[in-house]
Amino acid sequence: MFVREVFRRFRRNPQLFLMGILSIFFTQLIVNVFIVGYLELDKLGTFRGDAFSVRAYFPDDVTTGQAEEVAERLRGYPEVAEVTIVSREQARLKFLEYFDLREEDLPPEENPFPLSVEAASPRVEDVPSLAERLRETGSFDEVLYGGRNVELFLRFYQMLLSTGGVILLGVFVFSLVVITNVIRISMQSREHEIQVCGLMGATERFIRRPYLYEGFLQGIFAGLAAFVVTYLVADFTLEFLHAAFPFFPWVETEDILVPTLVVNTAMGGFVGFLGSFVASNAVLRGKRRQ
Amino acid sequence: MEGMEFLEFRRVYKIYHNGVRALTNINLSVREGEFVFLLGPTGAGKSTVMKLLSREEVPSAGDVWLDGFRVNRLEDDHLPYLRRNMGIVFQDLRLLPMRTVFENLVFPLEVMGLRRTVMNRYAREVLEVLDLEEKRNHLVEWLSGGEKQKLCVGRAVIHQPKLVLADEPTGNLDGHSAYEMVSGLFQLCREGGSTVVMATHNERILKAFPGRRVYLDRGEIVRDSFRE
Repeated sequence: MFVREVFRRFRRNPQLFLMGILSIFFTQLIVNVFIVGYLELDKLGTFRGDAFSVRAYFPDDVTTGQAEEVAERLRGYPEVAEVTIVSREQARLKFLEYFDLREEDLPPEENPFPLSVEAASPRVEDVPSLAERLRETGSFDEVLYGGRNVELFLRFYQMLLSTGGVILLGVFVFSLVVITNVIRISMQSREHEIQVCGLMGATERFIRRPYLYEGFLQGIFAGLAAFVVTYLVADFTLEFLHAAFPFFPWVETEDILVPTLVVNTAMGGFVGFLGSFVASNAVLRGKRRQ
Repeated sequence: MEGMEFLEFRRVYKIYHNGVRALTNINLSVREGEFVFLLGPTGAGKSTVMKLLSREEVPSAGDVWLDGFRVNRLEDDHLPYLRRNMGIVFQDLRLLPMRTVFENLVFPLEVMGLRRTVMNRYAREVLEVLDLEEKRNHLVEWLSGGEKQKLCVGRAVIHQPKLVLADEPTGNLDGHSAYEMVSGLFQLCREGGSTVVMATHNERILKAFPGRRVYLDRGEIVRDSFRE
């Protein structure tokens, strides 16, 4: 009965209902921009995997056996996703290959490279802490990761996370305030009905229930609408970007489907429900004081 | 508590915030299963008596007792449970516009948490009596004034409450329908044991039915009589 009643209210007063949906819809679109941005950076991080791994060089006197022991210990650290031992010979060959040199340019007996490990962290933003952790072990002469680009990337990544967090919190509060006021107006316009319900023996919980459904459904509709719009815009834009810059690791449309759908419906429904709860509490508390 | 009547007003005064004195020193006792007509001109205080019983208003002084409970001192949390034992026919009907005839009718059962099948059973009987079966799924705004009034009465009695408060329940009904409706309330009172307090101006109804008559004027009880 409650859901049917919500739809009847929508038919009777679509403006108010749509206002609630729109407020959540726009905030969910902003959320989606951050989701897509995050996924793109994550993809970039995975693509540039080599650049985001940490290289740690052993002292010259360390044997392969001792290096294996250290590597085994490192594999137990939570910041470590993968550890590979790079022998002196492997390092020399990599160097020759990278600079397109011949064997005689750096013969094995002149190999200056020490034994080293390459460690990768599960998340790009954990790279600096992984490097710090390797330094703390005291097993290495030198610990290096990436270069200026990596620093820039990580700084941008951190900035996105922190400013994104603040903006998302602001967006969440904004949509909560709007939906709370929309539901409050909706309740106040039906004050008469609420009074009748009370006189029929309805408890506050019972009276509140249809409004909670209303807010929740508004949130779900808004979330789904934001998801569909994001999908259409992303599909068009990414297709263009893939064609225009084929070598750049653009995120795929399929990659954003599940995260946006889940976040939009869950967050939309939650904001709608919470807003209705706050509004109905305020209205019913006001009625009790009368 | 011993010797207490089902419904009692003890030295009740009601003065509204705007200074209007609605009731003055009302003392009234009603036995369980009694049918009481509240009579008096407009502004005599009939609706205020109803509102004090349903705790829509609280007395400025004195106490209102109902079924052993002092209504004016009842905690807010307990009010819904008191009201579930009441059926109210409002002067201005107060049907729920977003709901159908069926949904309005079974609303008191819904708040009690009854199952849909049980509600259906009760509703079928009442809709038949009210002659509203065909309009079961209509929104109430599509009903005529008389049909709305009948629905309002049906909603007040569907859960067989201990107390029925009816404020001018025949206002929108023609002579025959009004008679039928009050007959129904009388039947509920006799067979179901419900106490009925009905405010009315309808002279024809008063002539047609026996029962106690309490006359109010300017907030005071001026006569309390019984007609066989």
